[in-house]
Amino acid sequence: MLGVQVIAESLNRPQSDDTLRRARAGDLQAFEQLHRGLVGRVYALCLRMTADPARAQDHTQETFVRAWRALGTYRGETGISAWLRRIAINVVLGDRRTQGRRIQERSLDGPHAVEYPTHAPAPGSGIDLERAVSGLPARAREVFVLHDVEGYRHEEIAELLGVSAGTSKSQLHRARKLLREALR
Amino acid sequence: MKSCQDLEHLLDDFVDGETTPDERRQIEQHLAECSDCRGVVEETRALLAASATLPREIPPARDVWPDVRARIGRRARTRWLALAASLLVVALAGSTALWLGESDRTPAVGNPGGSAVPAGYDPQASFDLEVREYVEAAELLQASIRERSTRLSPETLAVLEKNLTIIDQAIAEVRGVLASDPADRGNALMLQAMHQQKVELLRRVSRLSS
Repeated sequence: MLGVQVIAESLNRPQSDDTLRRARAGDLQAFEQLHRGLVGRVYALCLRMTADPARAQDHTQETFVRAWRALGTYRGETGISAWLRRIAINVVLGDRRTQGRRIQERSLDGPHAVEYPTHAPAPGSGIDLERAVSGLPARAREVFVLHDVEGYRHEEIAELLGVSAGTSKSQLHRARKLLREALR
Repeated sequence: MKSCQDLEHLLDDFVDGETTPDERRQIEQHLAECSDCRGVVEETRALLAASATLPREIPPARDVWPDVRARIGRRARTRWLALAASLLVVALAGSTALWLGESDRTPAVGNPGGSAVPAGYDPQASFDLEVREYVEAAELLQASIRERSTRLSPETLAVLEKNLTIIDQAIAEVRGVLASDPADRGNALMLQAMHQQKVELLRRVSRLSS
């Protein structure tokens, strides 16, 4: 999954390299171009991790503001999309830490399940899966999205969340079990 | 043989290909005889297959760029103003003496004497012309330095390169801010000052190579 993504990103690289270079030099128009090309990718991650469209939009905005501020430090070790998503994850998790107990975990099929655009280019079951993921308990949802959708390893997730790799595995197990039941 | 409960947590590792050879063998033996656990493995694999088909991108319901733009516009200005101020200090500390008496080799740009504004004065056209003259002057000086680069020490060339990178980056930043807010006279003046700094730096190095 991650391999396909890396190949896709490398195919787009020649064009984005110039845009990236100009954006790093402070060219706002180039940064807007970068934003336009990657905002859907960042928003998808934020939406799946938060299950809250309004919050996901705020996090997407914050991600690009931080990216602009840190663009000078980007050295290209990872693709720009992966770099942005890493920022987005930190934004989402940072916000969740400050929210603490105020976050209410949603029940599957609950009234807060996120409505996904029906034009999403996924098979019919994709919408059901999105809804089921949005109904997962917050921590299980985050680990599922990071591991099974974004392709992070348990060790990386553990570092991001400040938990042990065992806890990450346990949350993934919980998420998969709930999703299997929800999708039967 | 281990029970379903014993192996329950290992089934995820099994599906993810993260079991040890010994664990894998135990699970395969168990699966051969347990339809419930086979069902779990099949459903988990189907779940992962479905996850792989989820759209990589979802457009936000509203365009978030205007908000991003509003926030980073303020940051951009702060960033380049700080940079420009530091450049100005550095340049003034070392260049005043060199700058004096060299107007014969410098493009006649700017309005340093603060003379009266002529009738029909178009600030934007005047600004564009001045910046263009600085850019052309910088190109000429850079070409001249390149031709005589063997007369300069590697250290001098390295310092020049480093400073040009800083100035060019500052120029690009100001141009970016100007592009989104062309009416901002402060940005325009700062851009002009930066081009002037660049020409001044190149002139100083050019003198060393002559």
